[in-house]
Amino acid sequence: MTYQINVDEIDSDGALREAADAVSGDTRLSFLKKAGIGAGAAMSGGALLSMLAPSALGATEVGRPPASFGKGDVGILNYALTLEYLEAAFYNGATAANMSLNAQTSAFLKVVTRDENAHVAFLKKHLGSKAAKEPKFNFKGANTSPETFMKTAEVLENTGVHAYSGQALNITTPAYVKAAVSILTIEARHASVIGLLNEPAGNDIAPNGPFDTPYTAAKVLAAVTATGFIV
Amino acid sequence: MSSPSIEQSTCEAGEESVRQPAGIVERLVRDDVDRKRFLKMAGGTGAASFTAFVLAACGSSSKSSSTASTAAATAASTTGSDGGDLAILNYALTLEYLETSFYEKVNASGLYSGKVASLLKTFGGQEKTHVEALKGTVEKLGGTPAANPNGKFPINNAAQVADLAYEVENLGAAAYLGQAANIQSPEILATALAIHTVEARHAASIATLVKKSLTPDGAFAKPASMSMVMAAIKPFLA
Repeated sequence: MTYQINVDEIDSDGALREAADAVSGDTRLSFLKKAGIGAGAAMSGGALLSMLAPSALGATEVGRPPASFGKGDVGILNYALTLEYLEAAFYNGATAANMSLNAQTSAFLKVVTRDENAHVAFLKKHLGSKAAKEPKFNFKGANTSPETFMKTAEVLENTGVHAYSGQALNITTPAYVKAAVSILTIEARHASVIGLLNEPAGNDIAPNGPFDTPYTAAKVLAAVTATGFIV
Repeated sequence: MSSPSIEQSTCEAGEESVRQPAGIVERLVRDDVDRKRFLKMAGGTGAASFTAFVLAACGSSSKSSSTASTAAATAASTTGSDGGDLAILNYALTLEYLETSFYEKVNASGLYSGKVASLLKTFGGQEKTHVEALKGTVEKLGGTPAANPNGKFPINNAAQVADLAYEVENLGAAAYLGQAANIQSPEILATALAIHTVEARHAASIATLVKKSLTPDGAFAKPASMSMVMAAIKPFLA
């Protein structure tokens, strides 16, 4: 049985759309950007544990993707796969658009196109017949003009970091935990590079400061919904 | 052309710099050995003595092992109940101390200016925050934090230092990745993950500056085992 992901299924009671609308007045991109930037204040170990523990706990039962993605690890992998589908499609489109990019951005695009497609392939392989189908996307020009492409890429990659961080603690199969963390590292690398290319002074390399933050699936999906990229 | 994987290059470093007992260390720390049994053998439920133990087992020079032993002695034993996680935290703390020392020396060197200098200062500040957080976490859990090993790094010229920064950050990221599956406590795992992605960010942005691979392991980052990392950092330990 395959799982078909569509936005309404993700957001069956409109809660996610509400959450997205709550950040009203923003353009889709700036909403995402705000979602991706947190306070990166220095803190003591005790404070760190207290700060992270609620998120960590929030990233356990409460933070899981909705049941429409599947149960347990399958649900989490399908949630990850959906995000990877989005990134891969975004970058495949960007590559096909053959934009005029500088050398570093062009190199970045090559790397991320390779990586996200590899992530899709990996997750599909491990999910087998349970793999979610690829949603339909419309990037509305976000991946065909250099400036918008670069800004959107940064937001997508940081969203990926939040998403994988948020679910790593929920995965029960050890091999999948390892895989998720391995992929998480790569998303963080992508995010930092495009952050540096977008902001050469380096302030966007680690937008959350010294500690990255996990997001619940609800928060990530609200942000994704708000982009309107899944149609 | 992509760089060799972290595991590959650190293993090679290990072969060169560590003599016969390295085989024992390798066997002791690889995943299929009972970690708790190993930590018991290490003479404590996993505090800072791990570093000294690994170095002593490596048959390193008396100078380096005695410094590390001193560090271990001052750290004494831990009273924490989850010795495994504490050992990992102290391992991470040791690496963060090294990174902090590295950036302090780099920032004091005057080799860089402008945006790059500012970027390296930011990274150093973030490593220092990691030190404080890990130290505090160990203390909060009733353990004794590893002592600062006071790392020594060659600081010769801008290109060499940038390359070294690339290696150090990649090693840090791979080290955290190598422990992710071993951490028992969800809160400590969350802490480790929150830090490790920042190390990966540092590594990849330095890669951009030195024109090296953003993802030296390709689409899936490879973990580095504790033994390989300890062997790789040995040249930097006083």
